[in-house]
Amino acid sequence: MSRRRVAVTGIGMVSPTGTTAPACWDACLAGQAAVAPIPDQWRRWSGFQSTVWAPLPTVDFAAAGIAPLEAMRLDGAVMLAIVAAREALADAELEASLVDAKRGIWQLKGVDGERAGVCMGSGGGGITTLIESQNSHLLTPIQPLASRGTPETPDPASDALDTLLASLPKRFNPFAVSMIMPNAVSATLGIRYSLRGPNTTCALACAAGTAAVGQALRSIRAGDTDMVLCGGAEFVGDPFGSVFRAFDTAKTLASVVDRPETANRPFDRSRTGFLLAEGGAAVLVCEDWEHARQRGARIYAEIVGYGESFDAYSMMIMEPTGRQLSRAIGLSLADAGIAEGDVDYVNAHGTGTIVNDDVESAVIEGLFGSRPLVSATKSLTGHCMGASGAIEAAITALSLRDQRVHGCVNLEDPVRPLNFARQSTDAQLAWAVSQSSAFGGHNAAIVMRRAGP
Amino acid sequence: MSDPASPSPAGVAARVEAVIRDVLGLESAAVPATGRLREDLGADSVDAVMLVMALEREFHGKIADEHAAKLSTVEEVVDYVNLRIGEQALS
Repeated sequence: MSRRRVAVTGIGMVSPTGTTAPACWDACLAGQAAVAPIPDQWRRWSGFQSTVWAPLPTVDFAAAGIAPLEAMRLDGAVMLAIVAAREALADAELEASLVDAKRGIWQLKGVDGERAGVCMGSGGGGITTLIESQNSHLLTPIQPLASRGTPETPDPASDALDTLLASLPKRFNPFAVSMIMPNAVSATLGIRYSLRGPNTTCALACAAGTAAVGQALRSIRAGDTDMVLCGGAEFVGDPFGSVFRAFDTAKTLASVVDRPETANRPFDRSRTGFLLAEGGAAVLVCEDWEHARQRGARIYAEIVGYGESFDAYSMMIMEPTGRQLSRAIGLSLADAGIAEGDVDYVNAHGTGTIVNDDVESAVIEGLFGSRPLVSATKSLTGHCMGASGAIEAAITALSLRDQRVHGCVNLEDPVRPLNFARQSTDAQLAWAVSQSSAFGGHNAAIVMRRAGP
Repeated sequence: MSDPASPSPAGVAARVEAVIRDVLGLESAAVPATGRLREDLGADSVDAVMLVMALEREFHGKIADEHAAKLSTVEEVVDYVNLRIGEQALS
């Protein structure tokens, strides 16, 4: 019996470059990279080495069906995931009807909920809620100081305290547990759309989104599901920059010499680190090929291979030979049944850190030589952590549909002579690879094919 | 609680009913004053928590947990909010 095939039939996306998939894709093709100074307020708490990040644009959550009341019990990552999922389902022309107004539960027309799953990637779960809850908890006995008035001689310490106290919510959020847990994103989407098949979370840090797409492929192929909502979501925009500080202290972030807009430069010799994104989410509707065909769905691309490996080397540094990253990509190609020479486009992990880009570019050169086009979506969106692999999977699917790849922004002096796309380029693309690596040592790679018969 | 925008008791009752409807997903269904939140209107323990947060949001105040635990009918909620507005007291 032939293997079940998997189609991408819907895409939803929110990233620093846009609040819909078409907006993100158009911004990428136009080379409109997201970068901005970090909020001034954060500087009260630390003298940061990096001073730029990629903030999210304003997202209209109410327009995405998230009422203000509901928002009170949802972490930012979950809210972004809902926006992306709603867009992806509408894009896949899967009509949703409300079946329980109180719980906000919808049913998808023509979908057997017990044959439909969810698999979302996350880096930090509800880390922003955790930080806010901790602030709320620790400041409880200090709250009376809020009414003490302005000190006669204002100083930075009392100024910081006043800012903290003014930020406190009326009560410790009673929904904190369900907001912090890493499975909150997948669970929320499963409840919201009555999807009762396997509901899992890939917690593989920055490889989470790629792994989630890979797991969706395996689930559908295995016959466990006919459809999986998969992708990733992350939100690290805590009010005082704690998460940013953690990465900054670890010396992983892009430093700014003169022009902030050039700080984020994956694969350039003068790169200094990655640009942290405030958050993002991408959701792909993955469907059994026949299921998609029977309902007349539009198909962006076919997911044909997945491979994963683990460095077993360091929590924070890529293993210098890149052997395991190379093996993960090799496994994905073998799973797809293609050779290295078949690959036309590599959507690289491309963070912009010194070690990552050095190792990854060597791996790409070793496997593919300098034939396939290579670009790094993070040069435009910044690093969306647990959402990044999903965003890049979505971008890869769009590249295959439109036969066009976006450029690698700010790449002037490449670390290696690969076939980097410096700007948007039309190209004949049959097969594409998107890989991710992560803190911890996780490597994951997916292979996609242009939609065909 | 204090809310200078709409201090009239009738206005408060309508706003409380709207909040209850919103939290319990009742849309335009009737919310009788004597209605019991749990038994008649189907509120569960999560709804009860959500209701308190929603009332605090609507009326810009804080409801003490010990008071919240005693609010079991629509009428009691309306009376509580009116009393707090009358007292102009934040708990």
